[in-house]
Amino acid sequence: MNFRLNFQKIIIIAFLLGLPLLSINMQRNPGEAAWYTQPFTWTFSLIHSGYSGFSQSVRSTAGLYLDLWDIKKEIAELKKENSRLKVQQITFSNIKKENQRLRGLLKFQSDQKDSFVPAEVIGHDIIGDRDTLMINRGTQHGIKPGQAVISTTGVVGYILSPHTLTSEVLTATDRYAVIDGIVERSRARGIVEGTNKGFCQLRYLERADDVRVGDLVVTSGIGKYFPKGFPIGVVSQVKKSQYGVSQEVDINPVVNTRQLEEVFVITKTPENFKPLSSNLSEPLEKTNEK
Amino acid sequence: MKNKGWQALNFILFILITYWAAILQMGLFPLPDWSFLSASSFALSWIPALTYLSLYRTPIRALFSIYLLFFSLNHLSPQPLGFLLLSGILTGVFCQSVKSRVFAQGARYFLALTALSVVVFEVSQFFLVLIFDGFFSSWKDFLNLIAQAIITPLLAWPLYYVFGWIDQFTQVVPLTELREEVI
Repeated sequence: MNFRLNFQKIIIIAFLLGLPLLSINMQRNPGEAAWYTQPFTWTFSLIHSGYSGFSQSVRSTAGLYLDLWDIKKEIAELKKENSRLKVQQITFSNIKKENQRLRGLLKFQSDQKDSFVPAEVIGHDIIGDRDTLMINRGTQHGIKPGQAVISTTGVVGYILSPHTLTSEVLTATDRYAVIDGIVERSRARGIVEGTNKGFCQLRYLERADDVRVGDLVVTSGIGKYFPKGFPIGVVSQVKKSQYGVSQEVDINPVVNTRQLEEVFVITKTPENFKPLSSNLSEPLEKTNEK
Repeated sequence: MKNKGWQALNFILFILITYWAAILQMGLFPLPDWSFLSASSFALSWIPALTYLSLYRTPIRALFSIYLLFFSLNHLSPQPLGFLLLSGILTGVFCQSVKSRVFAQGARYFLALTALSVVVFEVSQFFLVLIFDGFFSSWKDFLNLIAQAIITPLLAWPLYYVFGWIDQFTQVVPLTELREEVI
Protein backbone atom coordinates (compact mmCIF):
# COMPACT_ATOMS: atom_id res chain seq x y z
CA MET A 1 0.00 0.00 0.00
CA ASN A 2 2.83 2.30 0.95
CA PHE A 3 4.66 1.50 -2.30
CA ARG A 4 1.48 2.08 -4.28
CA LEU A 5 1.01 5.52 -2.77
CA ASN A 6 4.59 6.47 -3.60
CA PHE A 7 4.23 5.11 -7.08
CA GLN A 8 1.06 7.16 -7.52
CA LYS A 9 2.83 10.29 -6.39
CA ILE A 10 5.72 9.65 -8.77
CA ILE A 11 3.33 9.25 -11.69
CA ILE A 12 1.43 12.41 -10.78
CA ILE A 13 4.64 14.41 -10.47
CA ALA A 14 5.96 12.99 -13.76
CA PHE A 15 2.79 14.00 -15.57
CA LEU A 16 2.68 17.44 -14.03
CA LEU A 17 6.33 17.96 -14.93
CA GLY A 18 5.62 16.72 -18.43
CA LEU A 19 3.21 19.59 -18.95
CA PRO A 20 5.76 22.34 -19.52
CA LEU A 21 7.42 20.11 -22.12
CA LEU A 22 4.13 19.76 -23.94
CA SER A 23 3.50 23.46 -23.58
CA ILE A 24 6.61 24.18 -25.62
CA ASN A 25 4.47 23.14 -28.54
CA MET A 26 2.00 25.93 -27.84
CA GLN A 27 2.98 27.88 -30.95
CA ARG A 28 2.05 25.12 -33.36
CA ASN A 29 2.99 25.72 -36.96
CA PRO A 30 0.27 25.21 -39.55
CA GLY A 31 -0.06 21.60 -40.54
CA GLU A 32 2.19 20.32 -37.79
CA ALA A 33 0.94 17.97 -35.13
CA ALA A 34 2.83 16.44 -32.26
CA TRP A 35 3.72 12.78 -32.85
CA TYR A 36 1.95 11.64 -29.68
CA THR A 37 -1.35 13.17 -30.78
CA GLN A 38 -1.25 11.77 -34.31
CA PRO A 39 -2.77 8.33 -33.53
CA PHE A 40 -5.60 10.05 -31.67
CA THR A 41 -6.09 12.56 -34.45
CA TRP A 42 -6.13 9.82 -37.08
CA THR A 43 -8.61 7.64 -35.17
CA PHE A 44 -10.95 10.44 -34.18
CA SER A 45 -10.75 12.08 -37.59
CA LEU A 46 -12.10 8.82 -39.03
CA ILE A 47 -14.86 8.71 -36.42
CA HIS A 48 -15.74 12.34 -37.07
CA SER A 49 -15.83 11.87 -40.79
CA GLY A 50 -17.92 8.70 -40.45
CA TYR A 51 -20.34 10.39 -38.10
CA SER A 52 -20.72 13.48 -40.28
CA GLY A 53 -21.25 11.28 -43.32
CA PHE A 54 -23.86 9.25 -41.47
CA SER A 55 -25.52 12.37 -40.10
CA GLN A 56 -25.53 13.96 -43.52
CA SER A 57 -27.06 10.92 -45.16
CA VAL A 58 -29.72 10.60 -42.44
CA ARG A 59 -30.60 14.27 -42.81
CA SER A 60 -30.73 14.11 -46.57
CA THR A 61 -32.71 10.86 -46.59
CA ALA A 62 -35.25 12.22 -44.12
CA GLY A 63 -35.44 15.41 -46.16
CA LEU A 64 -36.02 13.53 -49.34
CA TYR A 65 -38.95 11.65 -47.84
CA LEU A 66 -40.40 14.73 -46.22
CA ASP A 67 -40.28 16.82 -49.35
CA LEU A 68 -40.95 15.91 -52.88
CA TRP A 69 -37.76 13.98 -53.21
CA ASP A 70 -37.27 14.32 -56.94
CA ILE A 71 -37.42 18.08 -56.85
CA LYS A 72 -35.19 18.37 -53.79
CA LYS A 73 -32.55 16.15 -55.32
CA GLU A 74 -32.54 18.19 -58.47
CA ILE A 75 -32.35 21.45 -56.51
CA ALA A 76 -29.42 20.15 -54.47
CA GLU A 77 -27.57 19.21 -57.64
CA LEU A 78 -28.37 22.53 -59.27
CA LYS A 79 -27.25 24.41 -56.15
CA LYS A 80 -23.93 22.61 -56.19
CA GLU A 81 -23.45 23.35 -59.84
CA ASN A 82 -24.55 26.95 -59.32
CA SER A 83 -22.04 27.45 -56.49
CA ARG A 84 -19.29 26.02 -58.62
CA LEU A 85 -20.23 28.24 -61.53
CA LYS A 86 -20.38 31.31 -59.28
CA VAL A 87 -16.86 30.67 -58.08
CA GLN A 88 -15.72 30.12 -61.62
CA GLN A 89 -17.48 33.32 -62.66
CA ILE A 90 -15.56 35.29 -60.02
CA THR A 91 -12.34 33.70 -61.18
CA PHE A 92 -13.05 34.40 -64.82
CA SER A 93 -14.13 37.99 -64.24
CA ASN A 94 -10.91 38.60 -62.32
CA ILE A 95 -8.88 36.96 -65.02
CA LYS A 96 -10.69 39.09 -67.57
CA LYS A 97 -9.84 42.27 -65.67
CA GLU A 98 -6.27 41.19 -65.38
CA ASN A 99 -6.14 40.34 -69.05
CA GLN A 100 -7.48 43.76 -69.93
CA ARG A 101 -4.71 45.38 -67.92
CA LEU A 102 -1.97 43.19 -69.22
CA ARG A 103 -3.26 42.49 -72.71
CA GLY A 104 -0.46 42.11 -75.12
CA LEU A 105 2.05 41.71 -72.31
CA LEU A 106 1.11 38.40 -70.87
CA LYS A 107 -0.21 35.13 -72.15
CA PHE A 108 -1.76 33.70 -69.03
CA GLN A 109 -2.47 30.07 -69.69
CA SER A 110 -3.99 29.04 -66.43
CA ASP A 111 -6.61 26.38 -66.54
CA GLN A 112 -9.03 26.54 -63.62
CA LYS A 113 -10.66 23.21 -64.45
CA ASP A 114 -10.70 20.82 -61.49
CA SER A 115 -8.69 23.19 -59.28
CA PHE A 116 -11.40 23.34 -56.61
CA VAL A 117 -12.32 20.70 -54.09
CA PRO A 118 -15.87 21.25 -52.83
CA ALA A 119 -16.26 20.58 -49.11
CA GLU A 120 -18.98 20.73 -46.52
CA VAL A 121 -18.58 22.52 -43.21
CA ILE A 122 -19.10 19.88 -40.51
CA GLY A 123 -18.30 21.90 -37.42
CA HIS A 124 -16.90 24.92 -35.67
CA ASP A 125 -14.22 25.21 -32.99
CA ILE A 126 -15.17 23.34 -29.80
CA ILE A 127 -13.63 25.90 -27.46
CA GLY A 128 -15.14 28.95 -29.11
CA ASP A 129 -12.02 30.99 -28.48
CA ARG A 130 -10.86 30.63 -32.06
CA ASP A 131 -12.58 31.23 -35.40
CA THR A 132 -12.07 27.93 -37.15
CA LEU A 133 -14.16 25.56 -39.22
CA MET A 134 -13.95 21.83 -39.76
CA ILE A 135 -14.55 20.55 -43.29
CA ASN A 136 -15.14 17.02 -44.54
CA ARG A 137 -12.13 16.88 -46.85
CA GLY A 138 -8.62 15.90 -45.81
CA THR A 139 -5.24 14.75 -47.04
CA GLN A 140 -6.92 11.87 -48.84
CA HIS A 141 -8.62 14.43 -51.10
CA GLY A 142 -5.43 16.35 -51.80
CA ILE A 143 -5.79 18.97 -49.08
CA LYS A 144 -2.55 20.55 -47.85
CA PRO A 145 -1.77 23.16 -45.20
CA GLY A 146 -2.07 26.75 -46.37
CA GLN A 147 -4.43 26.09 -49.28
CA ALA A 148 -7.00 28.80 -49.82
CA VAL A 149 -10.61 28.21 -48.81
CA ILE A 150 -13.26 30.28 -50.55
CA SER A 151 -17.03 30.39 -50.85
CA THR A 152 -19.27 31.75 -53.54
CA THR A 153 -19.08 35.21 -51.96
CA GLY A 154 -15.36 35.45 -51.25
CA VAL A 155 -12.46 34.41 -49.06
CA VAL A 156 -13.21 32.16 -46.07
CA GLY A 157 -9.66 31.49 -44.87
CA TYR A 158 -7.05 28.83 -45.38
CA ILE A 159 -6.28 25.26 -44.34
CA LEU A 160 -4.59 25.15 -40.96
CA SER A 161 -4.16 21.43 -40.42
CA PRO A 162 -5.45 18.73 -42.70
CA HIS A 163 -6.21 15.31 -41.22
CA THR A 164 -6.94 12.12 -43.13
CA LEU A 165 -10.60 12.81 -43.88
CA THR A 166 -11.21 16.18 -42.27
CA SER A 167 -9.40 19.52 -42.18
CA GLU A 168 -9.27 22.52 -39.92
CA VAL A 169 -9.82 25.87 -41.65
CA LEU A 170 -8.49 29.07 -40.11
CA THR A 171 -11.01 31.74 -41.07
CA ALA A 172 -9.96 35.26 -42.04
CA THR A 173 -11.35 36.64 -38.77
CA ASP A 174 -9.19 34.45 -36.51
CA ARG A 175 -6.47 36.34 -34.68
CA TYR A 176 -3.75 34.21 -36.28
CA ALA A 177 -5.07 34.61 -39.85
CA VAL A 178 -2.97 36.71 -42.23
CA ILE A 179 -3.84 37.30 -45.89
CA ASP A 180 -2.16 39.66 -48.32
CA GLY A 181 -4.76 42.09 -49.63
CA ILE A 182 -5.21 45.13 -51.82
CA VAL A 183 -7.88 47.80 -52.02
CA GLU A 184 -9.59 47.11 -55.33
CA ARG A 185 -10.20 50.76 -56.21
CA SER A 186 -6.85 52.34 -55.35
CA ARG A 187 -4.63 49.21 -55.44
CA ALA A 188 -3.23 50.15 -52.00
CA ARG A 189 -1.60 47.05 -50.54
CA GLY A 190 -1.63 45.81 -46.96
CA ILE A 191 -1.94 42.74 -44.80
CA VAL A 192 -5.40 41.60 -43.71
CA GLU A 193 -5.27 40.26 -40.15
CA GLY A 194 -8.03 38.68 -38.12
CA THR A 195 -9.06 40.04 -34.74
CA ASN A 196 -11.28 37.27 -33.30
CA LYS A 197 -13.98 39.90 -32.93
CA GLY A 198 -15.89 39.23 -36.12
CA PHE A 199 -13.96 41.66 -38.30
CA CYS A 200 -10.48 42.01 -39.81
CA GLN A 201 -7.96 44.82 -40.02
CA LEU A 202 -5.96 45.95 -43.01
CA ARG A 203 -2.52 46.73 -41.64
CA TYR A 204 0.80 48.12 -42.82
CA LEU A 205 -0.83 50.61 -45.15
CA GLU A 206 0.99 53.87 -45.63
CA ARG A 207 -0.67 57.01 -44.34
CA ALA A 208 -0.90 58.44 -47.85
CA ASP A 209 -2.63 55.34 -49.25
CA ASP A 210 -6.09 56.04 -50.59
CA VAL A 211 -8.63 53.99 -48.58
CA ARG A 212 -12.26 54.94 -48.03
CA VAL A 213 -15.20 53.41 -46.18
CA GLY A 214 -17.03 51.08 -48.55
CA ASP A 215 -13.93 50.09 -50.54
CA LEU A 216 -13.65 46.42 -51.40
CA VAL A 217 -10.49 44.64 -50.26
CA VAL A 218 -9.46 41.71 -52.40
CA THR A 219 -6.63 39.18 -52.36
CA SER A 220 -3.44 40.49 -53.91
CA GLY A 221 -2.34 37.18 -55.33
CA ILE A 222 1.06 37.56 -53.69
CA GLY A 223 2.05 34.41 -51.93
CA LYS A 224 1.53 30.84 -52.94
CA TYR A 225 -2.07 30.04 -52.33
CA PHE A 226 -4.68 32.74 -52.94
CA PRO A 227 -5.52 33.65 -56.50
CA LYS A 228 -5.69 37.35 -57.24
CA GLY A 229 -8.89 39.35 -56.87
CA PHE A 230 -11.06 37.31 -54.50
CA PRO A 231 -13.14 39.56 -52.21
CA ILE A 232 -12.04 39.53 -48.56
CA GLY A 233 -14.16 42.30 -47.08
CA VAL A 234 -15.49 45.83 -47.23
CA VAL A 235 -13.81 48.72 -45.42
CA SER A 236 -16.00 49.75 -42.49
CA GLN A 237 -13.76 52.24 -40.69
CA VAL A 238 -10.59 54.21 -41.43
CA LYS A 239 -8.67 55.62 -38.47
CA LYS A 240 -5.76 58.01 -38.92
CA SER A 241 -4.00 59.22 -35.82
CA GLN A 242 -2.70 62.78 -35.70
CA TYR A 243 0.86 61.52 -35.88
CA GLY A 244 2.23 58.31 -37.34
CA VAL A 245 3.09 56.83 -40.68
CA SER A 246 0.27 54.34 -41.07
CA GLN A 247 -3.49 54.12 -40.77
CA GLU A 248 -5.86 51.61 -39.18
CA VAL A 249 -8.50 50.13 -41.41
CA ASP A 250 -11.31 47.86 -40.20
CA ILE A 251 -12.85 45.42 -42.65
CA ASN A 252 -16.16 43.60 -42.49
CA PRO A 253 -15.63 40.18 -44.08
CA VAL A 254 -17.86 39.40 -47.05
CA VAL A 255 -18.30 35.83 -45.86
CA ASN A 256 -20.42 35.07 -42.81
CA THR A 257 -18.73 31.96 -41.41
CA ARG A 258 -21.56 31.38 -38.94
CA GLN A 259 -23.89 30.44 -41.73
CA LEU A 260 -21.47 28.83 -44.08
CA GLU A 261 -22.32 25.30 -45.12
CA GLU A 262 -20.30 24.70 -48.24
CA VAL A 263 -16.83 25.89 -49.23
CA PHE A 264 -14.23 25.28 -51.93
CA VAL A 265 -10.58 24.51 -51.33
CA ILE A 266 -8.27 25.74 -54.04
CA THR A 267 -5.92 22.85 -54.59
CA LYS A 268 -4.27 24.21 -57.69
CA THR A 269 -2.22 27.15 -56.49
CA PRO A 270 -0.87 29.91 -58.73
CA GLU A 271 2.46 28.15 -58.50
CA ASN A 272 0.98 25.07 -60.12
CA PHE A 273 -0.58 27.02 -62.97
CA LYS A 274 0.97 26.54 -66.37
CA PRO A 275 4.07 28.67 -66.84
CA LEU A 276 3.67 32.17 -68.14
CA SER A 277 5.01 33.06 -71.54
CA SER A 278 8.72 33.53 -71.94
CA ASN A 279 8.38 37.25 -72.64
CA LEU A 280 6.91 37.83 -69.17
CA SER A 281 9.93 39.38 -67.50
CA GLU A 282 10.50 42.08 -70.07
CA PRO A 283 7.00 43.55 -70.12
CA LEU A 284 6.71 43.39 -66.35
CA GLU A 285 9.92 45.30 -65.93
CA LYS A 286 8.55 47.89 -68.30
CA THR A 287 5.33 48.07 -66.33
CA ASN A 288 7.27 48.59 -63.14
CA GLU A 289 9.24 51.39 -64.68
CA LYS A 290 6.04 53.20 -65.46
CA MET B 1 -13.92 -10.07 -18.63
CA LYS B 2 -11.10 -9.24 -16.26
CA ASN B 3 -11.23 -6.14 -14.09
CA LYS B 4 -8.68 -4.28 -16.24
CA GLY B 5 -10.67 -5.14 -19.34
CA TRP B 6 -13.81 -3.63 -17.85
CA GLN B 7 -11.89 -0.55 -16.84
CA ALA B 8 -10.49 -0.14 -20.36
CA LEU B 9 -13.96 -0.58 -21.83
CA ASN B 10 -15.29 1.96 -19.33
CA PHE B 11 -12.70 4.46 -20.43
CA ILE B 12 -13.23 3.84 -24.15
CA LEU B 13 -16.99 4.32 -23.74
CA PHE B 14 -16.39 7.56 -21.83
CA ILE B 15 -14.12 8.91 -24.53
CA LEU B 16 -16.51 7.90 -27.32
CA ILE B 17 -19.55 9.46 -25.63
CA THR B 18 -17.61 12.64 -24.92
CA TYR B 19 -16.30 12.80 -28.46
CA TRP B 20 -19.78 12.25 -29.83
CA ALA B 21 -21.12 15.06 -27.61
CA ALA B 22 -18.29 17.32 -28.81
CA ILE B 23 -18.96 16.76 -32.51
CA LEU B 24 -22.68 17.22 -31.92
CA GLN B 25 -21.87 20.56 -30.31
CA MET B 26 -19.57 21.49 -33.20
CA GLY B 27 -22.28 20.73 -35.70
CA LEU B 28 -24.87 23.00 -34.10
CA PHE B 29 -24.88 25.80 -36.62
CA PRO B 30 -25.69 28.01 -38.45
CA LEU B 31 -26.34 30.54 -35.75
CA PRO B 32 -28.47 33.60 -36.45
CA ASP B 33 -26.66 36.89 -37.05
CA TRP B 34 -28.17 38.51 -33.97
CA SER B 35 -26.75 35.85 -31.68
CA PHE B 36 -24.07 37.20 -29.37
CA LEU B 37 -22.76 33.70 -28.80
CA SER B 38 -19.77 32.38 -30.66
CA ALA B 39 -20.74 29.74 -33.13
CA SER B 40 -21.24 26.32 -31.54
CA SER B 41 -19.61 27.28 -28.25
CA PHE B 42 -22.68 28.17 -26.21
CA ALA B 43 -22.16 24.90 -24.34
CA LEU B 44 -18.99 22.96 -23.67
CA SER B 45 -20.35 19.47 -24.11
CA TRP B 46 -17.12 17.72 -23.05
CA ILE B 47 -16.88 19.52 -19.68
CA PRO B 48 -19.38 17.12 -18.00
CA ALA B 49 -17.05 14.19 -18.76
CA LEU B 50 -14.09 16.11 -17.40
CA THR B 51 -16.04 16.90 -14.23
CA TYR B 52 -17.32 13.35 -13.83
CA LEU B 53 -13.89 11.79 -14.26
CA SER B 54 -12.35 14.32 -11.85
CA LEU B 55 -15.03 13.71 -9.22
CA TYR B 56 -15.53 9.98 -9.33
CA ARG B 57 -12.06 8.65 -10.09
CA THR B 58 -8.79 8.50 -8.16
CA PRO B 59 -6.42 11.44 -8.84
CA ILE B 60 -4.15 9.31 -11.03
CA ARG B 61 -6.98 7.98 -13.15
CA ALA B 62 -8.48 11.43 -13.38
CA LEU B 63 -5.14 12.79 -14.60
CA PHE B 64 -4.76 10.03 -17.20
CA SER B 65 -8.35 10.58 -18.29
CA ILE B 66 -7.83 14.31 -18.72
CA TYR B 67 -4.73 13.70 -20.81
CA LEU B 68 -6.42 11.17 -23.07
CA LEU B 69 -9.60 13.25 -23.27
CA PHE B 70 -7.69 16.23 -24.61
CA PHE B 71 -5.52 14.11 -26.89
CA SER B 72 -8.73 12.92 -28.51
CA LEU B 73 -10.35 16.36 -28.66
CA ASN B 74 -7.21 18.25 -29.67
CA HIS B 75 -7.74 18.05 -33.42
CA LEU B 76 -11.15 19.71 -33.08
CA SER B 77 -9.57 23.01 -32.09
CA PRO B 78 -6.44 24.92 -33.14
CA GLN B 79 -5.88 25.80 -29.50
CA PRO B 80 -2.47 24.41 -28.48
CA LEU B 81 -2.59 21.13 -26.57
CA GLY B 82 -0.63 22.70 -23.71
CA PHE B 83 -3.38 25.30 -23.19
CA LEU B 84 -6.08 22.64 -23.14
CA LEU B 85 -4.16 20.36 -20.79
CA LEU B 86 -3.26 23.11 -18.36
CA SER B 87 -6.87 24.30 -18.21
CA GLY B 88 -8.16 20.72 -17.98
CA ILE B 89 -5.81 19.80 -15.15
CA LEU B 90 -6.63 23.01 -13.30
CA THR B 91 -10.32 22.17 -13.64
CA GLY B 92 -9.67 18.62 -12.41
CA VAL B 93 -7.68 19.84 -9.43
CA PHE B 94 -10.47 22.32 -8.67
CA CYS B 95 -13.10 19.54 -8.73
CA GLN B 96 -10.97 17.32 -6.48
CA SER B 97 -10.37 20.10 -3.98
CA VAL B 98 -14.07 21.02 -3.86
CA LYS B 99 -14.92 17.34 -3.41
CA SER B 100 -12.50 17.03 -0.48
CA ARG B 101 -14.34 19.85 1.31
CA VAL B 102 -17.96 19.56 0.20
CA PHE B 103 -19.49 16.46 -1.27
CA ALA B 104 -23.03 15.32 -1.93
CA GLN B 105 -24.46 12.39 -3.80
CA GLY B 106 -26.66 12.87 -6.82
CA ALA B 107 -27.10 14.81 -10.02
CA ARG B 108 -27.56 18.27 -8.48
CA TYR B 109 -24.08 18.31 -7.00
CA PHE B 110 -22.64 17.13 -10.30
CA LEU B 111 -24.52 19.83 -12.22
CA ALA B 112 -23.30 22.53 -9.85
CA LEU B 113 -19.73 21.33 -10.21
CA THR B 114 -20.12 21.24 -14.00
CA ALA B 115 -21.19 24.90 -14.01
CA LEU B 116 -18.21 25.82 -11.82
CA SER B 117 -15.89 23.74 -14.02
CA VAL B 118 -16.99 25.72 -17.07
CA VAL B 119 -16.07 28.94 -15.29
CA VAL B 120 -12.71 27.58 -14.08
CA PHE B 121 -11.84 26.21 -17.52
CA GLU B 122 -12.80 29.38 -19.39
CA VAL B 123 -11.13 31.72 -16.89
CA SER B 124 -7.90 29.70 -17.07
CA GLN B 125 -8.14 29.79 -20.88
CA PHE B 126 -8.61 33.55 -20.71
CA PHE B 127 -5.44 34.01 -18.66
CA LEU B 128 -3.40 31.57 -20.75
CA VAL B 129 -4.40 33.36 -23.94
CA LEU B 130 -3.72 36.72 -22.32
CA ILE B 131 -0.27 35.64 -21.09
CA PHE B 132 0.96 33.65 -24.08
CA ASP B 133 -0.92 35.27 -26.97
CA GLY B 134 -1.36 38.74 -25.49
CA PHE B 135 -4.95 38.65 -26.65
CA PHE B 136 -7.69 40.19 -24.54
CA SER B 137 -11.16 38.70 -24.98
CA SER B 138 -14.04 40.98 -25.88
CA TRP B 139 -17.13 41.58 -23.73
CA LYS B 140 -18.97 39.09 -25.96
CA ASP B 141 -16.76 36.32 -24.61
CA PHE B 142 -17.90 37.08 -21.06
CA LEU B 143 -21.54 36.89 -22.14
CA ASN B 144 -20.60 33.62 -23.76
CA LEU B 145 -19.10 32.39 -20.49
CA ILE B 146 -22.34 33.13 -18.61
CA ALA B 147 -24.36 31.32 -21.27
CA GLN B 148 -21.99 28.35 -21.17
CA ALA B 149 -22.23 28.13 -17.37
CA ILE B 150 -26.02 27.98 -17.66
CA ILE B 151 -26.43 25.75 -20.72
CA THR B 152 -23.65 23.21 -20.09
CA PRO B 153 -25.23 21.84 -16.86
CA LEU B 154 -28.48 21.33 -18.79
CA LEU B 155 -26.54 19.16 -21.18
CA ALA B 156 -24.73 17.52 -18.25
CA TRP B 157 -27.97 16.32 -16.70
CA PRO B 158 -28.70 13.51 -19.19
CA LEU B 159 -24.98 12.82 -19.53
CA TYR B 160 -24.75 12.20 -15.76
CA TYR B 161 -27.15 9.27 -16.12
CA VAL B 162 -25.38 8.02 -19.24
CA PHE B 163 -22.05 8.07 -17.39
CA GLY B 164 -23.69 6.35 -14.41
CA TRP B 165 -25.01 3.66 -16.73
CA ILE B 166 -21.55 3.17 -18.29
CA ASP B 167 -20.06 2.73 -14.80
CA GLN B 168 -22.78 0.25 -13.91
CA PHE B 169 -22.39 -1.66 -17.17
CA THR B 170 -18.63 -1.89 -16.90
CA GLN B 171 -18.78 -2.70 -13.17
CA VAL B 172 -16.80 0.36 -12.15
CA VAL B 173 -17.90 1.78 -8.82
CA PRO B 174 -17.77 5.58 -8.85
CA LEU B 175 -15.38 6.82 -6.19
CA THR B 176 -17.24 8.86 -3.60
CA GLU B 177 -16.02 10.61 -0.47
CA LEU B 178 -17.53 7.87 1.69
CA ARG B 179 -15.72 5.08 -0.16
CA GLU B 180 -12.42 6.97 0.04
CA GLU B 181 -12.78 7.07 3.83
CA VAL B 182 -13.49 3.38 3.98
CA ILE B 183 -10.37 2.62 1.92
